[in-house]
Amino acid sequence: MKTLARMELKPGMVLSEDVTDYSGKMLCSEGDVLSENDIRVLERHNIIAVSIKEDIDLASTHFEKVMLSPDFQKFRKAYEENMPAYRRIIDAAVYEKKPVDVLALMKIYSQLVRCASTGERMLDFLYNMMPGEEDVTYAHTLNSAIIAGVFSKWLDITQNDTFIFIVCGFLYDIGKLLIPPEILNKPGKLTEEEFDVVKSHAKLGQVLLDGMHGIDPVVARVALEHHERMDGSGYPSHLKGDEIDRFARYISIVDAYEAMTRVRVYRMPLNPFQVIANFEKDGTGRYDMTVLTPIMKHVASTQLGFEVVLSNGMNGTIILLNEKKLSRPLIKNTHDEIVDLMVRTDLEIQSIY
Amino acid sequence: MLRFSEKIYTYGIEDPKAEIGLLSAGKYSAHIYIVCLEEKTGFVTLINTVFLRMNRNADMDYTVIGLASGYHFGLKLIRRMTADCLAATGSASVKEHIPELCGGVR
Repeated sequence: MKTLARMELKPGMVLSEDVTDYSGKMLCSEGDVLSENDIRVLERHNIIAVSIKEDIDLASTHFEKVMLSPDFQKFRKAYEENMPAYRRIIDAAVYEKKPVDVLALMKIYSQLVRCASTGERMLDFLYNMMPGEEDVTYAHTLNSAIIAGVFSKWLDITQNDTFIFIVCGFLYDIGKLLIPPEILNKPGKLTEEEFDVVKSHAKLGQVLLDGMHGIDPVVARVALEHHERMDGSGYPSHLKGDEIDRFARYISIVDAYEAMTRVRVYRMPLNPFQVIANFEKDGTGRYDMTVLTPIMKHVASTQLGFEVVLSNGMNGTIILLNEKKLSRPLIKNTHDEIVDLMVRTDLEIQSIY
Repeated sequence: MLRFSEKIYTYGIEDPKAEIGLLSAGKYSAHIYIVCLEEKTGFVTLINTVFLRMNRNADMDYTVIGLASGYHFGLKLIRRMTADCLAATGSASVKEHIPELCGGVR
């Protein structure tokens, strides 16, 4: 909301407060979209200034509001400015076999995270970033490192663990850069042979990082194990439970979360409740629940109080989470009725405002 | 400021002398961990040497008693030190028995 002098008003602006004349007679109401006639009426009544909604208030969804915010613009600028440097560091390691400059990576990380006041805000920012096609693999790992930093705070892990978690985020998928792009970016379904090539990125990453100067051996292990799953359904070694390194278990969640919340050319990212629903559907048994549960609780609780549109077009506000099924909270609709999504399984949260 | 004990435990470090030289010169590497006594707090702790660059650590004094390449080796090093401490003194409290384990400060 901002106050504008009458002279600055333009048709199409939206009032954020009622406007009355000096006798108290209503001239225009809050939410009115100003027409040229309205502006003439205000002039006739000698109204000096009015409050109007800024662009940010006009944005419809929560994420559109984020996109229009100045701190997101700052983040996007920093992200785009740092991307070439990030690519150079990673490319030097992959194609010239030079050691990864971890300290330079951490500098990039610090420059980006300082743009957001909270971890939740940072996730909102990432949700709105759409990297260029040639940057997709790099953006995936850069985003993963940032998400790892946010999750570290939520998991309340030590400084040492946080550091490793973030470095793993930067490097766990480095082997993908050694996979031919025509296979990696193939639009249709992969053949069995092609899928085997894609799966080899885990081993390729480990070979690249193992013994590299300045790289903690655990990072190479995480590159190898980040597609292993707790129930043994992962690859390459079908490890189970504690056989998988703790950081690889963390990173597998970050990897899935990043993939689901990334903007794609062909689809919008999933909203937080759709992400949670996916984890609830496929994640139990596959991911480390001691890690996944607190993260999902945090993601869900940050959505409390937001307005939503349900799949039947109904508007409402998220008022309470269902501990047993975080993806299906209680909604209060515009008629003050409570809709329990645990019961109304036919409904879904379509968008968040 | 870093000081080093006479005997330094190591794990996964190829050339401990060279590594001590680098650390003394303020050249820290992201995979090198130190097990050290924090003089201010009296805690024995495992720190990635990258954190020594942080402003909040700038005025801290550390006596280094162990060096490890990588976090997991750092944890293994602490386990080994604790086991040695228990065998030598009957107590697992490393911080109280640093002189017996590592001698004095260089």
